[in-house]
Formats: sequence, structure tokens, C-alpha cells
Amino acid sequence: MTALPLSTAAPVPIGSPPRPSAAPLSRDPGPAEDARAIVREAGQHVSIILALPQGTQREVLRSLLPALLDQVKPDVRVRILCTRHTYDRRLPHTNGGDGGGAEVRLARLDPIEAVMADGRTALANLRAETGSQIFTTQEVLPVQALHTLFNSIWKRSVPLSARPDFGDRRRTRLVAEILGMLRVGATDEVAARALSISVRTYRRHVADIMERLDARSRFEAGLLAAELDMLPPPAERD
Amino acid sequence: MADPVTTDPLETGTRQAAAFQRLDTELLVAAATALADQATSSVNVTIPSDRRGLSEFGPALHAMAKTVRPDVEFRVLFPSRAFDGEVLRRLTTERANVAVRIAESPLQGVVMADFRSALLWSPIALKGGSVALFDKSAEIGALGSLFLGAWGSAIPLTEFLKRRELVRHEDQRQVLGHLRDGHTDRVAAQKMGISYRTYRRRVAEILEGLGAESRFQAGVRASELGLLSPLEDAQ
Repeated sequence: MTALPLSTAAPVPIGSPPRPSAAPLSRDPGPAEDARAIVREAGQHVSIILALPQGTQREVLRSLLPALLDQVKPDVRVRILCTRHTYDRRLPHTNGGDGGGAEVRLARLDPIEAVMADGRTALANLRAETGSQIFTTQEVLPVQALHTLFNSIWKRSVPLSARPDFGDRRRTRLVAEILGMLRVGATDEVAARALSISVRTYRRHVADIMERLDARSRFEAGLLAAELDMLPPPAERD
Repeated sequence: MADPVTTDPLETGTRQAAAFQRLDTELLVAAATALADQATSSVNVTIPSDRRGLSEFGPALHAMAKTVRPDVEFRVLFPSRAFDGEVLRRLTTERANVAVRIAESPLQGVVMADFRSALLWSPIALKGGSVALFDKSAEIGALGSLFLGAWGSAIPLTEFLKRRELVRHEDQRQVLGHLRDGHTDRVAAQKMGISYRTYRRRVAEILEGLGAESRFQAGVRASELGLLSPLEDAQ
């Protein structure tokens, strides 16, 4: 068997040497143009992460987003992961290529912006101690690793469109209180007393919440409320 | 030299592929060990999804578990489809403090030391050169950032095992389905061909297993454990 060059503990470069990472996708080396090219050339899916805090001069993609999404070919699926801080109400209504609009989900993310196409090319923009670091890469391994991690976060995050809107603030607060009661497993009688309403009224509210969640049972209401991240944090016990 | 790797039976006529596999795995183990040895604060690993991936990546995982210093955080993210009780049992005997979480979607093989250097591996991405070592800070920064996101949304091993226990039997899964679909206990019992009392007992067992006092709470716990994912994509 071939002798392996592994006498030292230092890492050895293995396989084909990595291609230069900043392989420019166009003659214009600017990140904005790179991002446009990535999106323009996508044939199947575009995955975008917006998680750099608002107002930082380092953010590139968010201000660019409308222009980026205009470049998406028809039938290309567009998914956007954002955080509570970077979420913008206009996001779900942006053009998503297939006419259905981009799918937007909320997740907890480290500060980063990225755009990926077809698991083949990626641009990432992250906050570093030494200012921002932006790179574009077509190297198979890092792009695929980024892509699978994106999918993993996506799968466990909340679709924004599924979260019902309860209208005015007073009602939203009542709904939150009721969900809190349900969350701690309070009986209807106890919950109604705590909220100073009749058991009947309480049950009517619960039925209304279930209807808006499109839940067929209280079990499913709990399932959906948790998936949609609508529940207050678990109350302290003891 | 003894074959340290392949447990999967190789198809006939793939001797060359077998040589490749061995070579890759040996290099992989050596490179992963060297990387793990450098780490001073954390080693973060994602396990590739396919069966062949685990059989080749497994030796590297075990080698790292023995190499990483005890005070260095060792996190392993497993895709659920590659879940392997035997590998995990070995892992926890090799090393006392190892954090394992389960992700629900496929992953690629990644090892990151201190989020400063990384090893990327895929059995299919490239031919003959499917391992790459990196010390480019920007790319590792991006990988690290997404790793932490995926880690944060993944299910801790203990929860995952609990959930497997809870849905081990077909009738447990059926009861969960009836609870979700809002069938009355009588209707559900009838559909399952069991008595009302037996059905109620099954529900009570599931609630107890989930640590829930009400059916709403049981739904919340089921979501946390990923037992039923109503919002999952078609993908």
C-alpha cells in the first residue's frame, strides 16, 4: 500500500488542492455584482440568509434584496432565513421567481449574510473582528456544507405565513395569556378564574384560537403554537 | 494491512473503489486527528448522512474522541437518518463529555477546530479528492456561523432517544395521530379496534411519557421533540 505522508501531526492537504476561493464570477469583483450573478445563474433554488444586525454598514444583501430577487429566473425556489431583527414585513411579498413569492422563515442565527444557488455557488458576508469579510466561492465542499447546514436550520424554523394575526393589541395580549395558561397545563376553570372571565368565555376564546391555527384538537393547537413559536417561555415551577 | 473501515459489503467489481475507500479513510483519520489535536476551545463535527458516509467517517470520529483534550468542547451533530446507536455508545465510552444533537436533514462531513481550521469531507462531492482542509478564516467563519444555527435548532440526543421510545410502537404513533386529528376518544378507540378504556390508558401513558398534564401541553412537547411536524416541507 502507498506510504502516506503522515509522519508529522500537522494537517496535510489532501485531494485536489482547493481552488482559489475568491473565484470571481464576473469581471466586476464587487460583492453586489457577485450576488447578482449567483442569483441570476440559479437554475433550481436560491437560499438567502439575512442575519447581520440592522444599521451596520457591513450589510450588503438586505439593501440589495429587491434587485436580487428581480434577477431570479421563473420556477426557481427562493428561501430566505432571517432573524427577528432582520425580518421585514415586506419580505414575504417580494418576488420569488415562481410568482408565489419567496418563502421566509424566522430562525435564531449568528450574524451573517449569505446567498447560495443550487448548492454550487455561495457568497457569505460575516462580521469579523477586523471588519467585514466577504467571499464568493464555487468550491464544492464548502458550498455543499453551507447548503446542508442551511437546510438543517430551515427545516426547524418557523414559516412566517403560517402564524395567524389576531388583529388588535388587546386581543393579541389576551391570546398570549390564554396560550400561557394552556402552556402550563391549567384546567379551563383555573385559567378562566385567573383571567377573570367565565369558563364559557374562556372556552370560546380557545375554540377561536384553534380555528385560527387551523387546529383540529387542543393537542394539535399545542403542536402548532409551539412550531410557530407563539408560546411564552415556560413558567418557572416550584 | 487490515481493513479498518468498510463494513458495507462492496459490490462486485469495485476493487478499485475499495482501495480508494481505504485510502480516503486512512487519510481522513490522520487529518481529523491532527485537527482535533490542535483545538484549544472546541471541536465541532457534522456527520455525513449516507450509510457509506458514516462507515468512512466513523473511524475519524472515534479517533477524534480519543484525541480531543478533555477540557475542549466536543460537539457532534448527527443527521437523524445516519443515527447509529452503536456508534454513539462507543463515542460516549471513549469520551466523557461529548455533546450530541440530532438534525433532521442530511449533512456533509465537517470537522472544525476552534472555528479556525476545518476539514470538509464528502463521499460523493468529488472523485478521488473528497477531503479538503481549510484555514481560510472567512469560509470557516461562515461554516461556523451556520453550524451554530443548525446546532441550536437540532434536538439533543436525550430528547431524541426519548422520542424514539415514545413512537416505537405503531399504536403509539396511531394515538398521536388521533390526538392531532381531533377525533373523540370513542371514535379513535373504534378506529384502532381497542376499547375506550384501553385507548384512554394509551393516551394517559403518552401524556406521562411526554411529561404533560394536558393535551395541549402534550402537543407542545410533541413539537419540541419533533414527534409530528405539521409544518414540514414536502422536500
